[in-house]
Amino acid sequence: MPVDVHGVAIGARQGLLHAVRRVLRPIVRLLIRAGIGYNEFADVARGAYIERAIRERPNGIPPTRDRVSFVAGVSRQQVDYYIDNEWALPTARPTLARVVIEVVHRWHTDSNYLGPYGIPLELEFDSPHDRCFQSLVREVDPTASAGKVLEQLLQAGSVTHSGEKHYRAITRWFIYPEALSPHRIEYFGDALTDLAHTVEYNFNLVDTDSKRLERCVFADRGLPRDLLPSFEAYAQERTNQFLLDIDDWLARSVGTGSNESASRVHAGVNVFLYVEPPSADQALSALVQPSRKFGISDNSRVSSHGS
Amino acid sequence: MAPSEVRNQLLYALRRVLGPLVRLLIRAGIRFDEFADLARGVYVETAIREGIESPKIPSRGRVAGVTGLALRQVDRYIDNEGALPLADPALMAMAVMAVEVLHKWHSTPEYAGPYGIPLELQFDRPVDRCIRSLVALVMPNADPRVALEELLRIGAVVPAGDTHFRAVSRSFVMPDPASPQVAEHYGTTLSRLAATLEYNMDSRHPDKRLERRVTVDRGLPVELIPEFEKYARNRAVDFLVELDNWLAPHAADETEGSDRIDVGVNVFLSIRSPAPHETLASLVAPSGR
Repeated sequence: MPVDVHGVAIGARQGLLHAVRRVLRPIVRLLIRAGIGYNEFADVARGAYIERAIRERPNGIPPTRDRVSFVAGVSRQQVDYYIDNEWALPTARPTLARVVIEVVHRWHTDSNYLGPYGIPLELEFDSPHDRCFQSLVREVDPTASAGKVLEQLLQAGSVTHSGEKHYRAITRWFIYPEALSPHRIEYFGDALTDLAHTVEYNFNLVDTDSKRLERCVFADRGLPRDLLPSFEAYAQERTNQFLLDIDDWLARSVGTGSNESASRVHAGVNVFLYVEPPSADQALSALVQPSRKFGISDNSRVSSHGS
Repeated sequence: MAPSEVRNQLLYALRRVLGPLVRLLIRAGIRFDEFADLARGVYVETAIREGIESPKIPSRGRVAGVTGLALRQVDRYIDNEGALPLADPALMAMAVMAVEVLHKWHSTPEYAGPYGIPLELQFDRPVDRCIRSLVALVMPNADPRVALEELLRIGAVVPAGDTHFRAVSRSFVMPDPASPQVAEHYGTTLSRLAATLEYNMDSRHPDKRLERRVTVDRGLPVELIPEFEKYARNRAVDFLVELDNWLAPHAADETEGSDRIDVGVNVFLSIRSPAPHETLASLVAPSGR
């Protein structure tokens, strides 16, 4: 297959641009809903280009600012701006999500919090001192507020009240209750980045033999629409079992004999169901009102954008 | 407008998601200007196609207002169909055919022996149970020799003796990491996950789509990674075969004519690199200003 100067197949370049178009659409949909317009997006994207051009050092030599400018295709002045202003790229503090998920996991797998047949014990908030909700949270993260963690678990329906003083863990899954919450957005970033890394790892030009698990099953030529709810229910039930098996394996393997100081990496398995949107084959011009070339625009905001 | 914490998280999530995407683009020699041109088009396209004015048809001015773009830029993407990159429809045809042939070989009674194990097939004999008839079942106009060549090339099928072929995998794994099919696969897979996550973040959808993750709380010791990958891979194969068996009776040729949607389930394993903590300034050569 013919390749260009970057070692990329000629057709792959066009394919890559089309792939990026597809990936960006749901992301941009979310951004538009949150009121984030193109200019703000472009500021982050420009910074991402500069950051990648700096952090990717195939030969290990720190690049010059001019080299970064050339590789990223961004002016030298902008390169300086992003390098010299740490706040130019967005950052956010981690949410409590990781603590909450680990609390749920530990409640279902740590023998100190399990009763007969491995069923999670009902816990009081703060007594006894070594086997209560507070101790559970403390073991996961001593700096986290047990009250806030409990509030989130109750809100998500993963935990419920049991009598006046006890709490019962009712699901092993933590499902974010709010549609557009910081937790969900953090997860959105995590999951997409993880998948991108996995696909990119498998995409790696150097290593073609040790691909990471990334598989998919789908209905050949589509599923009758009326069967979707049954398929979703079946897939959900099988997914829960599959992931429970993985979770149990992890609990067993990490719990037995692994030394605390060993080098560790974050690893996980994701499952998701997708429904392809109808194909977007209508031209954009057919989907907007006819253009008014003369006269006053129907939207006052237009004038501020130099039309 | 989203509250500031949501907004900060969203911009930070965007920065993170763009990281691996931009790395690929840089490697392919696609620089910021070209990417920005594409992203502007996606903003315009999304604002129009996703019904910001639903159920009304938006005006160009409204699209400009929502996206924050100048009207002349909006006009450019609306009036030039070639302004956004298009898919090559032939690109995935071979991959799709290979997937379907493997699926039929493993799930159609005529091509499976005892215990559902796929039969070893000859190329064109007997006429109703051979590679040629199997390929015709999936795509009547396809060349069965080309299909077989592709299946052999990706290692999903191997010769068995002088005249027969054996299916050794039920899955199609993209073989060439620099091929257009892989680029297309990247876009398809990521956009599917992004769409599912975005769907679940929309308060208009009370019924959420299946999307689950299991992870190691404080990381997995590096030496356990190969074992974990092996276990997850084996369990994933069983899991996906179960779903595939559920879907098989509803394949298109058996319930032709009904309103159909493209649906599937994807499994992936991730290993997360530690977040970089060095500042950008510490990673570049001293400025020559």
